[in-house]
Amino acid sequence: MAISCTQPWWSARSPIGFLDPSRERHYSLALIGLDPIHPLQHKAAPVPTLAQLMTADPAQQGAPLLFYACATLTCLSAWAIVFSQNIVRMSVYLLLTLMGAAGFYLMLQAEFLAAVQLIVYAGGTLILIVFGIMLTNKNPEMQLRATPMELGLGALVGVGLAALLILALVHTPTPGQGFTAVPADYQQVRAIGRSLLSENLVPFELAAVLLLVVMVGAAYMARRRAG
Amino acid sequence: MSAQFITSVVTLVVIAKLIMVSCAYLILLERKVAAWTQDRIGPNRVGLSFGVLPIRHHCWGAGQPLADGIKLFLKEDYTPPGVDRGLFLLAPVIVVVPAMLGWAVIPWGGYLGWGDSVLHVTAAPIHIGVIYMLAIGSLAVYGVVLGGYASNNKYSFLGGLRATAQMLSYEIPQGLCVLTVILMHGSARADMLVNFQANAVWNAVYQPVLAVIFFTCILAECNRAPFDLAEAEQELVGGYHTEYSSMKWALFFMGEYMHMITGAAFFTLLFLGGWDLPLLSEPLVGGIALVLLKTGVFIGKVALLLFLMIWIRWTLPRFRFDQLMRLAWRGLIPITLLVMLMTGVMVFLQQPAWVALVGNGLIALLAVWLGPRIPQGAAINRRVPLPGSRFCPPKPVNPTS
Amino acid sequence: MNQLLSIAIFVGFGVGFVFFNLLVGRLVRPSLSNAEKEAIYECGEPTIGTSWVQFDLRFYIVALFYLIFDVELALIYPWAIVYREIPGEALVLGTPFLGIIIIGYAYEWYSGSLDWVRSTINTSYKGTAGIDMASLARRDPEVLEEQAAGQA
Repeated sequence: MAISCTQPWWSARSPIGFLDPSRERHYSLALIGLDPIHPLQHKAAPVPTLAQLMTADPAQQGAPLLFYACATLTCLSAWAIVFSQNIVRMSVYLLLTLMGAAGFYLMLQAEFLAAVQLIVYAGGTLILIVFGIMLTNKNPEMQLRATPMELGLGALVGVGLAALLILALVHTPTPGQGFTAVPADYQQVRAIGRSLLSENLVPFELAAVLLLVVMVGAAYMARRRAG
Repeated sequence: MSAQFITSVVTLVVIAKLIMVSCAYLILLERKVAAWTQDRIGPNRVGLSFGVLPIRHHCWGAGQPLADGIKLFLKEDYTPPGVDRGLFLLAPVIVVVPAMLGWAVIPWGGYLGWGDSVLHVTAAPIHIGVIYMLAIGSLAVYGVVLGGYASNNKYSFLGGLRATAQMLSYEIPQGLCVLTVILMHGSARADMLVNFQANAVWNAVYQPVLAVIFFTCILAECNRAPFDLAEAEQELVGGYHTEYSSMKWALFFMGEYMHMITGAAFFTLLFLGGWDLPLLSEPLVGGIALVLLKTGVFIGKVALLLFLMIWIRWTLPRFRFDQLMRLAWRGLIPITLLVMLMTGVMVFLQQPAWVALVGNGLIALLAVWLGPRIPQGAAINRRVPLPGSRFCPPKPVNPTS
Repeated sequence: MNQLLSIAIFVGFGVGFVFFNLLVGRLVRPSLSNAEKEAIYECGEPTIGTSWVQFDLRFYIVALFYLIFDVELALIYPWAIVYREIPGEALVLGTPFLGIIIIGYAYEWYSGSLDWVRSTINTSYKGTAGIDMASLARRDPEVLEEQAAGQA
């Protein structure tokens, strides 16, 4: 088990200590061979990784199908963002792109990252962008056309990004070359929680300071509106 | 094809079908409860015969949802000129689909023992079940925004903006409630949260303040009265779906009821012990009969909550928008933060459950006592009596002078 | 993977359900539109201008505050999940984070940016017909009443 120091939830020293010891043995998941963290892990086969599934029989789990579905969604909507001229439609396409990326995260067993992607980017940032567009829009038929300068700059950034991605692709380990699979009982959210309290503690606390700065800025903006 | 996958798909199809049918009957229930509240009879004429079948009985109006459905299919669906057609069509879809996606992680019937394996009666048993529900819930805002924007109607636009601001504001206390439950139990798995409660006491018993706040947030999230400002008829006609008609309008309506069901199931899962009943919780894993029984218990609790929601709708008047925002930002968020801190300290000190109950009581008392005493500062407007207005009428001239 | 597949099936189910309903409706219903029926509904008045106009920025500020709290929540979910495993560390190291956030929240409260209805006392906002709302708001109701009486 990855989290060996977990206190069993039925233990007598359970922090919420109202468990009745005479009842608990009926309920104890350990009696029926289940793990308190992941009830399926003892009985079910280990969860295969994306790489295993991609090389396995295509009909086996439908994984390649899902991968291509997510990839199509992400790529098509990303193209649509670039070629759309209505700015609200662009944000809808951006929503679809973000959802496709969340699908990739789910496939890579990064469940928490997928949820955060939806909560923070799709649910928060994008709404802010849409509000920004809708509330500051003085020209109703607002259409966006890129100037040649912007096109050149965009092309430059695009080429740079493509180079970075290709570099990353080349350096990604493939199965059989130092590729390590995720353990079957891996829980991303626990791993993140532990790292936030140990090696990533400073960024964690700094994020609070950053949020404080944003709050003060937002309060200033709100007050300047009134004053 | 693992056995778990087959179980998931069967659960998914059965639950989705069941909820879609019950959505229609929820509308009938809503009208009936409204009628009882207002001392009327309610719909009772449309039986199941439809003029064709030889059923003489009126069936207490059970044919009404079917008749409504047929009517909605046959109604003309016009799209006003000047709308953004793509987004106009997309908005009802984005309202309905996230509401349905929430059902995927709910542990409807506990565990099914099949041979020597234990299967989840859940469509998708993922580790971060309740966080997933919040993530999906935050997508529901888009249907409202796009519906309001695409209609090119001022009522729709204002209704959409209002509804969005409201849903955003109430997502924060909702998230804090979920966070507190996770803090207590140390897991975000939906089925594990139910197990913890089946093992001991339902969360609603020892975190009543949290349960009430969470229920309030659910009402606000699905735009139900007293938070139905998006469609305040007196001010905004139909709110963000003013320009919609026929099936598209019906999808908005169905989305609201699906959101109610999702919210009620979320509440049941977090605070009412899921499939747990005091005498039923003994075998954790059972055969199909036990799973069906547990599913029945879960759905029964959801039905009770839905009745409560409808009851509230026909009892309480609507909030004003500034009251609504004040309730969320200056009422619910500090109280939930306090409950969260209290729970954290309690878990740290390894205190028994009744301490949480006492803590909740103290926080409620503090909120009731401190609320009116918080200085409001100079930020509050006075009513300005404009000379000659009805707030400052000219003094009556004495006729004798 | 299976879970994503289940969710994908759910999405497919939902989208299929929605489009099936729309398609059936499209096949069976009549279409008899006329200019009046297609007009934008504004309670019988002819529409003036588009509705895609600049709106009150307070909605934007609500979304901004929401985003701040959303990021904060996303950061403390993992903290909450490991809290029971390592309560000591989590409490000690989580307190500064929460404390800073609460200080920010208190500042917002104090500065009045959480109020939906804001004071016009300290503004130079001109209301309709050029009435200076701020000067009116600063005035005493009794004085106004006397003025009104004097005018009468």
